[in-house]
Amino acid sequence: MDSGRLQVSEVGIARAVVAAVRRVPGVADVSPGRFAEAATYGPGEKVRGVALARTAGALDIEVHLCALHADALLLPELASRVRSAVRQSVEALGAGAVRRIDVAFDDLRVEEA
Amino acid sequence: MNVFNRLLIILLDLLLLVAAGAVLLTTLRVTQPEQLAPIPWFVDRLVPFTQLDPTSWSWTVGVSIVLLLVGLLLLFLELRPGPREAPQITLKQDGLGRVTVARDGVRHLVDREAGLVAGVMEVRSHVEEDAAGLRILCHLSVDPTRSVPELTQELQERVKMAVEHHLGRPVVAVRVDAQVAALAPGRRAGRRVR
Repeated sequence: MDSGRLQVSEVGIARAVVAAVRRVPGVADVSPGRFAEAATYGPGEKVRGVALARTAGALDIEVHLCALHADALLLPELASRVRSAVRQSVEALGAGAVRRIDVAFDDLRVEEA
Repeated sequence: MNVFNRLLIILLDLLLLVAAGAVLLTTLRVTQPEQLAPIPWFVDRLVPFTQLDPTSWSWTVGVSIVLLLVGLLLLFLELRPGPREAPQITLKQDGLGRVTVARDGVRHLVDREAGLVAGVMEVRSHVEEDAAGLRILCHLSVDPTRSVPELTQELQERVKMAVEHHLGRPVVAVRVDAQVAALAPGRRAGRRVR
């Protein structure tokens, strides 16, 4: 019998995660990764900046991003906000439990006046 | 050591290995000098090792083996890759996962903060991480009209405060290597920060 849970593709989850991360104040953009490409691959498309893996049914999510440099920037706090946003976006999709969210700041972007 | 010196040592070491190996093989009569040497000059150098008295033979074999071992050790030390620093610095690791920042990102932050100190013309920084926290080294080019000790102190305080504030990791040391920049006559010091 079907459990009634909606099946969401990994690319769909990654797209939602990217959109949620981009909305977090202090995030300049997602980053494709500095040393190896961080992306989620689907049929005919890939979503850069987010890598997903499933371990025992739970999601491990790796988010790569570029932070906006400002006096008020606190990277650990920004990471917490990013994690909250990621968790909420996955829960809103009904895509299952999230086990781990790794946040990698690949660069600090300075917006010149 | 620079690349040229390293290549020179590797080349000389290979010559030592070839020579010691050829002498050893010849002395042990494993092969004839004519088979080893591509040119007559080298054959002439090897021929005497086929006619050694027992004492000289023992010494030659012993010294050749020692030289071969030393040559191999030197080659290993020269070719072995140096320790590579991790490209990321871990800010936090908990049950929810890991938070990291790219080392280059921290360098950019340090360079930016250092560049805001009056009198700093050029900065190149290096960031290391250990269990106690971050250690930062700044190579500076400074305006000769400024007091280097004062500038250095201001820079150390500014960099330490900024990095601890933004990253939330303690900075245990900010070392400064300042070099007074030569100014072109009649030209004001500009600021050039990488």
